[in-house]
Amino acid sequence: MDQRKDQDCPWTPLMRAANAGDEAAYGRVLAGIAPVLRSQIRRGLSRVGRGPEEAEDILQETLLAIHTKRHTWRESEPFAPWMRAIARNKLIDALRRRGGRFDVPIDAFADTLAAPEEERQLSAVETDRMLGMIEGRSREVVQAVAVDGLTTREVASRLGMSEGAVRVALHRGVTALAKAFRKQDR
Amino acid sequence: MKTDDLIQLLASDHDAPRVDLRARLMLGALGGAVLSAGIVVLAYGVRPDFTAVLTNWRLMTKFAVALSFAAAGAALSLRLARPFTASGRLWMLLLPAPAILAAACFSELMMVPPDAWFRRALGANAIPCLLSIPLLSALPLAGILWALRDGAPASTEHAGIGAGAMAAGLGAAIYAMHCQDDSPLFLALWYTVASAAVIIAGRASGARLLRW
Repeated sequence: MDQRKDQDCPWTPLMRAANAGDEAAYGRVLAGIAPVLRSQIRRGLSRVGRGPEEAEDILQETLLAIHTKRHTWRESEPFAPWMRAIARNKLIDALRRRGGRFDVPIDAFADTLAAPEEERQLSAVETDRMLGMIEGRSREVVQAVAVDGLTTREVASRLGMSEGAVRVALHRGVTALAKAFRKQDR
Repeated sequence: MKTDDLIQLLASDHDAPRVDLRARLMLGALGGAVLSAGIVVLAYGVRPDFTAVLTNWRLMTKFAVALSFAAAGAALSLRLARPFTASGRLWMLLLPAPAILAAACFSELMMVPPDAWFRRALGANAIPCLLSIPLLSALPLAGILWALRDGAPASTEHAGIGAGAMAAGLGAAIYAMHCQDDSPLFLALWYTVASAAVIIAGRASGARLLRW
C-alpha cells in the first residue's frame, strides 16, 4: 500500500525541480513534508512510550539531514521512501542518544495530531543550542535568514557583504548546524 | 527556532552544490590507490616480469580476484551509503572474487602434484604479504571513507565493511605488482587473511567516521 502511495508521491517532481534550481519548489517540498515527518516521528516516539515534546527537535534534525544529504536521493526513484528512511535513521539516533529518559506516560498523548495552525508555530530548543555553537559570520547570516526572515539579498546589504559571500556563509552555517547535531552522538 | 524558520533557512540554501557520491568515491579511492602504488614502485620495487601479466594465468588470477573484489566493494559501498536498510542478498555482490579464486585453486590442485601443495600455499613471503596488504590498503581506505562521509548510511558498520572490501581489493592488486608468490593457493590463504583484517578495520573506522 505504501508503495503505491509512493509512486504518486507529489514531492518527487517538485524535488526534481528543486534540484534543477527552483527555490520555491524546494520550499514547498520542505513545508509539505514537515507535517508528514512530524507525525511519523510522533508515532515512532509513542511506540517506544515517549512523549511528543521531543518530536520537534528530531524533526528539525531530520530536515537538516534531508537538506545536507539530499544528493543520496536519486531522481529516478520516489522521494517519500527516501525521506522516511532519513527520518527513521534520525529517530533511531535520537532514541539511542537520549537513552533512558522516559519522562512522560504513554497515555498522556494518545492523540498525536494537533491542529495544523498550532503546529506552524512549533519550535525546537536544540536547534537554538546548536546555533549558539556556530561561529562568526555564518551565525549572523543564519540568524538573519532564519529568525529575522530576510532574503540573502537583504542580508547582503545589511551586513555589507556580497550576495555570493552571504550564500557561502549561509551554506557553512547550515552544514555546521547539521554537524553540531551529529556531535551529540559522541 | 521555529520549524518554519528552519525551512525558510534550508530553502535559502537550496542552490548549494550537491555532492556526486560516485565521483567522490572514485576520486578518494583512486587518490589513495595512486599513492599506495607509488610506495610499491619506489620502496618495494615492481616485480621484473610484471609485463607477463597477460601470459601468466596465475598472475592474471591475482589481479582478477583483487580487482573484482574492489569493484564489488565499490558497488556495495555506494548501496550501503544510502539510508535504506540493505537486504542480506546485497552481500552476494562480493561473491565473484571468491568464485574466481576457488576455480583457480581447483586448477592449481589439478596441475600441481600433491606433495607441492603445501609449499605453494605457504609461499616464500607470507609475512610481508600479511603486513603489506593492510599497509597498502590504508590510503585507499582513508580516501574511500572520506568520500562516504557524504553518504547517509543506515548502518555505519555495514558501509565500513563495503569500504574495507573495496580498499582490500585495491591494496591486494597494488601489492600484487610486487609479490612473486603466484599460486592461487597462496592467494586463498594469505591474501584472504590480510583482506579480512582490512575489512575489520573498515568496519571499525566506518562505525566511528561515517555517522551523519
